[in-house]
Amino acid sequence: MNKGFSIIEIIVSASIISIAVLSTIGVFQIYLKLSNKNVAQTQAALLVEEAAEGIQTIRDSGWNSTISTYTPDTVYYLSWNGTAYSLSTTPSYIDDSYQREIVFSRIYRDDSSNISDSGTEDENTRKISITVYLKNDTTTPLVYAENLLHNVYD
Amino acid sequence: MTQQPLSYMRKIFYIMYMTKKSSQMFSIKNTKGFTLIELVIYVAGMVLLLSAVTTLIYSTFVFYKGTVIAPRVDRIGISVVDRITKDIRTGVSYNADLSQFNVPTGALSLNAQTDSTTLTKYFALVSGRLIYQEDSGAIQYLTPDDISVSNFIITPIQTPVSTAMHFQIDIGYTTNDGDKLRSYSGVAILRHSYE
Repeated sequence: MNKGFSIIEIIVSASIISIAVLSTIGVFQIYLKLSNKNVAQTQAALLVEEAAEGIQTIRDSGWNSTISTYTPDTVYYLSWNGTAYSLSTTPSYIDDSYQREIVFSRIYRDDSSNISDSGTEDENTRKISITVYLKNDTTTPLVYAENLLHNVYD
Repeated sequence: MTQQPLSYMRKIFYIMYMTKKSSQMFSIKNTKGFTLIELVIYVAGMVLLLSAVTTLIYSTFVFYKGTVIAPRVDRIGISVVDRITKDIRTGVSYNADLSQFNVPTGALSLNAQTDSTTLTKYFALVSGRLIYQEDSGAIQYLTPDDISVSNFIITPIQTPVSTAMHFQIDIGYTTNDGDKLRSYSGVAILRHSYE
């Protein structure tokens, strides 16, 4: 009656055990990656805030020489050169891990000066849309924000 | 020995025991056991499996250490940037004599205004930690003592109508992967500088 195990039985049981161990470790690694994503979300929010404020400093240096020269509905990238912010259409990455896209769009006003989908274009107002993605993953935005920019001083 | 089949674990102990001691001590009557080839394959397979599992557990541990330190540095960097940004916004002007601009150990002295009271706010990097001081009050630390801030670079941005401050905080830390340096930047316009 006491036959012992065959080699097949041992291989099968060893593989079941290893699959169990490996999947436990796998789940743990997925958990760590997900908890990392939370931090990315917070940092992306900060990058949006930086962009909004940075664009305001560009606006403050003169609307007509800056904001009104940017082509609406074109993707711009904000960068800091050590002394000032500037916008360019050449893609640039932040910390080599984030991608931040800025789009200016036209604003139209109706007869009572309210913003509407059609009407007269208000050349002294632009809508800025800021989107932050993880680098090379432009399908799922981490954070998206919109802001209105006005020509107050020029 | 009973004639009942041995359990899996007992079988393993049994084999280990048998390899050490003489078979005289245990009766192996009616027990088929393994052939030498089977044993060799089994032991080799076990060694492979165990080393694979050990490597995986070790790499998970390394990964875990890296993941724990990196988000902590991120949280510190993000919260400090947020904090300084909000304080800069309360600014009216800055004191260039008491500030250190465009140097790795920067300092910023702000003339700030909150609820129509004016006060000075002072940020600086001292011995790897960011400090904050209000008027000439007590020094507050903005970063913990086990995290070393390598750079705090402040650059003023002067526009015709406003003043803004750009700042960059670099935090270095060590993981099993080597040394890492993370940069966090912020910019804020001194809101009262428009007035």
